[in-house]
Amino acid sequence: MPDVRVVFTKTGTLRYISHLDLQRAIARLLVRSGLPIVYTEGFNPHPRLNIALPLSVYQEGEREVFDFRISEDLPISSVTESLNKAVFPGSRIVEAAYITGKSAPRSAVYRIVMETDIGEKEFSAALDGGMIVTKRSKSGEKEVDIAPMIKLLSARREGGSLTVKAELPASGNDYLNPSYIPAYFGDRIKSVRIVRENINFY
Amino acid sequence: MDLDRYSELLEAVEKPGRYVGGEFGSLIPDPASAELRICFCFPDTYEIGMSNLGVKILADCFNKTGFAVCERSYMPWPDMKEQLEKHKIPLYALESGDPLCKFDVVAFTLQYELSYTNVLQMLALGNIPLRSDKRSGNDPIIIAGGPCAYNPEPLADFIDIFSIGEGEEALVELASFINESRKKGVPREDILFGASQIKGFYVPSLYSVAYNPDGTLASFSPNREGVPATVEKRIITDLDSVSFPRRCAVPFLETVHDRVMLEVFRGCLRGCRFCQAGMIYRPYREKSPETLNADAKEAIEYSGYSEVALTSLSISDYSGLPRLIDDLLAWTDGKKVNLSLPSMRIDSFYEELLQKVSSVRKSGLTFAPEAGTQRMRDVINKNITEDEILLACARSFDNGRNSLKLYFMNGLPTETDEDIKGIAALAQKIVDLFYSKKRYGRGVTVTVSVSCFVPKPFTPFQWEAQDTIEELERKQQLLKSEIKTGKISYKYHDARVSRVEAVFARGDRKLCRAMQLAFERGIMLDGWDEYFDYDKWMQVFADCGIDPSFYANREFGRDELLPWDFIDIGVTKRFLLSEYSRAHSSLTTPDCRTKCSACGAAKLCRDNKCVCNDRREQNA
Repeated sequence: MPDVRVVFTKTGTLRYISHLDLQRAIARLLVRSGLPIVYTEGFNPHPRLNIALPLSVYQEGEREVFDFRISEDLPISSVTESLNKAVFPGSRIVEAAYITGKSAPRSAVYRIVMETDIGEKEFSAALDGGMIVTKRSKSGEKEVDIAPMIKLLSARREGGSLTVKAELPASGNDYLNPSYIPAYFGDRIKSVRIVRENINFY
Repeated sequence: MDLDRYSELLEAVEKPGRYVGGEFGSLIPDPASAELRICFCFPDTYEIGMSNLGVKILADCFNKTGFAVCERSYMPWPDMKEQLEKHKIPLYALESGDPLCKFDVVAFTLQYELSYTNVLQMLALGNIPLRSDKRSGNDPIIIAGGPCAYNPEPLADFIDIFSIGEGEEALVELASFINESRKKGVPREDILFGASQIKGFYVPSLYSVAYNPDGTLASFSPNREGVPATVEKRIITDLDSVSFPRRCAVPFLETVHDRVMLEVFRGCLRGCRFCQAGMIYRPYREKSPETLNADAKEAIEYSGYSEVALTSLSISDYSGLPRLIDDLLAWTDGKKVNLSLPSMRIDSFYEELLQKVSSVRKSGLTFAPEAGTQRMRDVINKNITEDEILLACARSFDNGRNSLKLYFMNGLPTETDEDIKGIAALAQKIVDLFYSKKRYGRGVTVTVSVSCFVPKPFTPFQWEAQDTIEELERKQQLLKSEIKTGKISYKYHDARVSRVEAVFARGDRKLCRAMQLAFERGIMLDGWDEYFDYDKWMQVFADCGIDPSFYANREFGRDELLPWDFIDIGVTKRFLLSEYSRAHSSLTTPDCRTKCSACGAAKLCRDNKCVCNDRREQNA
């Protein structure tokens, strides 16, 4: 039974929808699609579905990923078409492909648009000097230097805003939420918009 | 909707998904093309409002007219209310994002009394003058309907037009009339008068009320010539031909009823004497299994939901149930779709049926014996014996269930301590029944959930006094002390909430003052434990010179003019009175199929022929 990996967008209204709600919405989208989807076994069967990497509320995604399983081989173009017909507003199926063996996310590329007076140079300097933030986790709060985790791809100032593109770790034991970057600068950021451009897999 | 204008607010609240719309299947309106813009408001949170089938049905009826576009709005949670007020942004509709005050008609559904304060909050948040007499010209026309509209008086100062009864046909007629009138520039007061001429609509400003020195009603009559003295409720006589929305918006958030809902019939054959729904929705009318099966199939395919619920009162009374279940099961299993029957009567064939329908997912089991002794069950006309209850429990234990939930009421008319003890005794018998046989797996859990009796208009108990809070709480503690085992989990409602509910349920126009003061003091979300504030309410009543006991704890005179007497629900006051007397003699009344009790509702049926008798002949 083949696994399908789907690349989709989560934009517009969907940035206000939590991961849990998105999961339910995708399950219903799979049911609506009419594809021969495979269900989990047991007490409360639901479509076998795996979303690659949760996206925080208020963030948008241009190439989000979920995997699901179907019970028969179908031309991939018809799978994409069926999914696109059933998709909810704010999302579009970019592509679908059969995969063999599942790979886990390694990192993700974010575009962070900050309304701020911070310039490109100041941002790079902060990165070089270290960015200590208070990171929350299940085990409590911790002071962490996030700078070594940030692979800066570009920083560009335009009008009143600074757009930073960066690759951040996104594996099981090494993960950084992009919202820590504007958080580091505190009140100097008037508003922020975060878009995940891509997820890289192992 | 252009969400950017609200992004600052949305990023400051806990559940922004409540305020953004954009669900799969939701309407993308073109306000420019709409002749009449309607905003349908549910005066509680999104998760509750999106679960309401009535709203879906009526919004769909409006949108099918061609001239009207119907959007939605819900009561914001206090964090969002605060944001709206802080940024001076009015409450908006989820489709266009336009403020409520920009609509031609704003409609509220009144599902429970404790949502009344939310109606006022939503009007104010939507920049609409609170009181009907303060609205003018281009202000929206405020309409309200639903079960609580059967006693509209506590909201009489705030609502322009009440819709009494079922709305599919009536509301479209009203919308069409308002649309034509607005096009012609008809003044607001003439539109309201015109609405009073359409059957099923009550315009409170066209009636005057006088009181006796003791506070009871002295007179209630039209204050303008041509306004009808009685308002007759509207019903749909043929449920198979009435419009039903098979394609509804599928919410992202998890709502209370997150499933396809099928309304199998309207009305109820049973006539439990405390039950308002059982009286106001008469006569009993069924939808055919063919229509229901087709509705369900399309709704499931469209939505991707994994559950269909058959939502009617006492679903096992449906004459076509075996056929419907078979038709549904023919395709639901293959689609991994679950069937649920939330309102089952405990009778002989229910477990067999449940076995059939739980082939995909097994759900919990809930019964409503309502009272603990046979005497008490006879008084309330819950025609069920202890043997039937125990037999039903035995069957479900034999089928491998080990938990069930029982609903009871306390404070019922004529109730004694023996009746309260009877609840514990019945629950204990059910526990003992479980252990009377060797059973595998975990032990049994019997949940006993007890609500407080609230006398409701248009029931045989509409004249009864509610027990005082002290008495209700004493009975709750008495029951607690009677429960001797941890196998019984006991839950009970806050008696103070039930008292406020009783005040508004049987309230008159004098309560409008209290409503307004409650609004001014920020009272809202009374249906939520964390916001219900009994002391605040008592202060409001005291400051308005209102004695809540007058409404809640007083036995109403049988010859008293009641605030809702001007509404004709079909069922006559004479019938309610005779049921009242029978209750006090512990006499039961058979269900409508067994014997017609001449309640009066038959006059609403086509050819005066009550549908239940009609179907019975067909099925014989």
